[in-house]
Amino acid sequence: MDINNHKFTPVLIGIHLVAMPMYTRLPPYVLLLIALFTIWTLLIIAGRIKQPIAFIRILLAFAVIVSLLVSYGTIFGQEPGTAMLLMLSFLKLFEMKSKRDVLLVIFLGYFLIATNFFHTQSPWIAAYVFVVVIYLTSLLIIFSDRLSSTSFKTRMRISMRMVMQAIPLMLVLFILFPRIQGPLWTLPDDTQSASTGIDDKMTPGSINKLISSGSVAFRVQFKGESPAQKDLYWRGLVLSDYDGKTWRRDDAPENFLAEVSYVKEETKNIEYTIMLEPHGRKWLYSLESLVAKEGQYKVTRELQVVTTEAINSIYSYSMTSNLQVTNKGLYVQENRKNLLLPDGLNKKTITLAKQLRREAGGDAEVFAYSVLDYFNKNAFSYTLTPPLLADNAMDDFIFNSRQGFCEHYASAFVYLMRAAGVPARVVVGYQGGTVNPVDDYMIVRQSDAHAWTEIWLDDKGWVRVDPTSAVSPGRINHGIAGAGLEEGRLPSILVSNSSLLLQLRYQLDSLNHSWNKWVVGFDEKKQKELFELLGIEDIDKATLFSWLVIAMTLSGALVFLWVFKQSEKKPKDDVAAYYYSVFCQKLEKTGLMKEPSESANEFLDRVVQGFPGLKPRAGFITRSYHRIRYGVDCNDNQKKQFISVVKQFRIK
Amino acid sequence: MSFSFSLKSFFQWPDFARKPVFKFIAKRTGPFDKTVVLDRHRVYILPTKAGLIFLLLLLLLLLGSLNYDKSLGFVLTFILVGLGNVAMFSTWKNLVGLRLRAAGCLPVFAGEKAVFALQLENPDAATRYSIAVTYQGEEFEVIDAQVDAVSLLHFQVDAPQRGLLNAGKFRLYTEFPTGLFVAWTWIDLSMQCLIYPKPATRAEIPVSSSIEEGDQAMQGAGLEEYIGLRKYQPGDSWRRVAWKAVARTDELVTKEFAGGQPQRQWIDWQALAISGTEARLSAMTRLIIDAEEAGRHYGLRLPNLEIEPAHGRTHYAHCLKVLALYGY
Repeated sequence: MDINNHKFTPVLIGIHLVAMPMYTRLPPYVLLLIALFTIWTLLIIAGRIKQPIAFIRILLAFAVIVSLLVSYGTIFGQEPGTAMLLMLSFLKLFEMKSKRDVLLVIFLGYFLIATNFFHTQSPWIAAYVFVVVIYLTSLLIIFSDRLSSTSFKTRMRISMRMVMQAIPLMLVLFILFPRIQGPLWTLPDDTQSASTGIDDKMTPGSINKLISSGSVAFRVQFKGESPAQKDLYWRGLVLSDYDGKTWRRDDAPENFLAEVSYVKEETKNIEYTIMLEPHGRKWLYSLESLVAKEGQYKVTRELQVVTTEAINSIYSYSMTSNLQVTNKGLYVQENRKNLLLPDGLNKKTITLAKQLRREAGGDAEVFAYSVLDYFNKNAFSYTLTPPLLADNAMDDFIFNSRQGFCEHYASAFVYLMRAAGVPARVVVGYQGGTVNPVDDYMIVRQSDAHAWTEIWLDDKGWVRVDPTSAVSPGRINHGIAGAGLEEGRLPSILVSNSSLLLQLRYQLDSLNHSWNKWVVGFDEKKQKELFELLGIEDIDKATLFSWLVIAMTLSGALVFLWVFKQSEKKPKDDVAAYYYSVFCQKLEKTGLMKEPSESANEFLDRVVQGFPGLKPRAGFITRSYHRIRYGVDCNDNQKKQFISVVKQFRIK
Repeated sequence: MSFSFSLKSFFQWPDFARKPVFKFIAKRTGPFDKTVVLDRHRVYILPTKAGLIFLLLLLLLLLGSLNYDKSLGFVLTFILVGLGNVAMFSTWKNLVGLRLRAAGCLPVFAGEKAVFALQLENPDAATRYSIAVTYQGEEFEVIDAQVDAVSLLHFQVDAPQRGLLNAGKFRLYTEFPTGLFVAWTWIDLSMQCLIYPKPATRAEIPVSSSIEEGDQAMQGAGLEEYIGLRKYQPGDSWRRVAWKAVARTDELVTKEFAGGQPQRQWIDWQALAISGTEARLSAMTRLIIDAEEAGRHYGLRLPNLEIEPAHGRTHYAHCLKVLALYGY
């Protein structure tokens, strides 16, 4: 079938609708080519130029590949692959001749729209995709409407109706389709998608720059009371290696703990579930200190929780922590590592550490307090805009600038500890969190990013020390907004004065949270939970499958009825005509069929001829039909009689 | 579409009704007596090639969603699965419930194509779009069956022989609304078309066999006296219609002549010096056509039957029908 040029336009619009969310991610060369293809196609539609010949199309295909190679360096992988498919569907417009070409482009559209979910699975993108699916389906209608007799409105109406009717089966499949854990394959650059949040290294300013971001790091649902603000230390990574400027993770092979239970008092355990926003990294956050785990992750000796795959979509996990428990393990290697300092730097700082240690006597704990005291008493300030530090960063900070953010204090504190022979390390993560009053869960934002320290005390194990509390107690007790920082640099949600706006934001976040919990984070565990709500414990895959089959059959039957009911005549349009047609349908079983040309009275004559016994009732129905339809005086009672006689009409 | 064509041959095996195994098929495809409601048993459905590609797309999406564990990927995949399911029902529904009636077929001469007409009645409150009719693999017409209306569909059948031509099974199909599925039905409405014998060429008829009777002096319309125009009456020769006047008034008028006795002609089976029944019938057909066109009165003598001379469309049709069914 040849297709007219005017049918191109909706397809072109369709591709652009599909591509819209990708525009911000696509490199400039690709965007340039898309603009060129669009103008070209528009000229073809306008009849100004013909479809390009095969040679030109091959050249254009080369241009596509070159632009991808220039922009990405490869044509394989998620991002370049998506861009490639998008360009191919634009190219396909140039050689569209048959219905098959168009269908291919529409199917590509359905596929491409799904690639957005690599980047976001927010309710907004879901709504957008829903609309695009309706539009793409209306394109299918264009190309199956042989006489081009449907209007845009009709097509959209049919398409919308069909997508609505698709929802029951979608729900059934979504809830009951068995999920698997872990990927079947990975593409080489799958892990390279953007990482956000806390990094695995820390330099002055690296946490600072997160503070202005109001985006959510994770949401937490506590079982029972949530702990006090000052106890909310969300542990991420432990940074032990310092080169004079940057703190890094220990690059020695990770030593995993087989068990993490240090539990003494079960009652003080805190159980919670975290819904972690995708951050593109291979670690999780837990409240200090983790005492029990469940799930597909491992715990290192430093109590870091690590995963095998990068977290690229909402990740939900449950943990148990205990605020009183400390990590009691210190290994020889760890001891040595946590005392190391770069050679020949910060001599003044080292002298200061030794002096303070002497003054404190031998006790490491007293020494730690005296260092905190030192910060507190010497006009150190907590600021988001600290000056840049010189080569001997510690000396410059402690004796000169004395302005810093949490990472400055954490690194200076660890430096001082190590210089005086106390094993110490930096911990990065989040501190604090705000409770959403709408749904009673806790939101931890990027602005809650924090760095603190741990020192080894022989009698207590690894003890958390937060030097920031010595400088800005408000930060720890009231969160980042209570730290007395420059407000202009904080995310607006934290400093908003309008309670209405705040309320709205909490409502929106609550919606997001439920969405993440029940839609984005829906997995095997949620499936089980759902069945537990129905009173079915521990459902296995086979049972799940039989449920799926039953539910699919039921919803299929439901949709079947829905499809068949929708275009039946509605009684409200014309009661008399409707029930008269019901009467005719009942007669059809006897082989009597009213000819379109036949009047009701003529038909009645035939009916009476064939079945004299039906005369009284058929006669009444025909007369009432005429009276209701064409008569002037007709009350509701007569209508009701007519309807009931038709309903009870039987042929013996 | 080619997918369903291959099935055509299966459903087109002749004489289902005689083979008990296929009685259930015959029950569904007919023959019916001129009218039938396409109920649920009579409409078949299968995915088209596009539908199969769509299925492949669904598989890819499902694999991707599983692999990357994207919940919204599942949502999209499953809504498309639902859409495919709805598309199947909708396509099927586009045919189910239609009422079909045989709407007749005008007689044609053997060697021509018989055009059968179908009436489609859509009892629903929604238009059924893009319903096409095919006969022996060839598509003839596409229509939209409007709400509460009767639409006509036509298909052509080769008519090689005189007599009654049985249309047999034709196929109605639709791919609306998505093109992912094709729903079709095979129906035999016992439609028949009268096929007149193939007219012989004038060269095939021996001159002597064209026996004419009547007033030879009156031969030719020019000898009659033209007296005026009157309203056309059925039976008037098309040759006498005053076309110029028709063009003026848009009403059929006939030129009236006085005094002239129309020519009379007997078209006689016995008198034709041609051998073979079919050849004779062909020759007689030619003679009837010529006589009618010339405005003569003509009669028919067959071995078993005689038709008095007359002229006009009814007489013409009657004569040809007798020839068409000769020996049946």
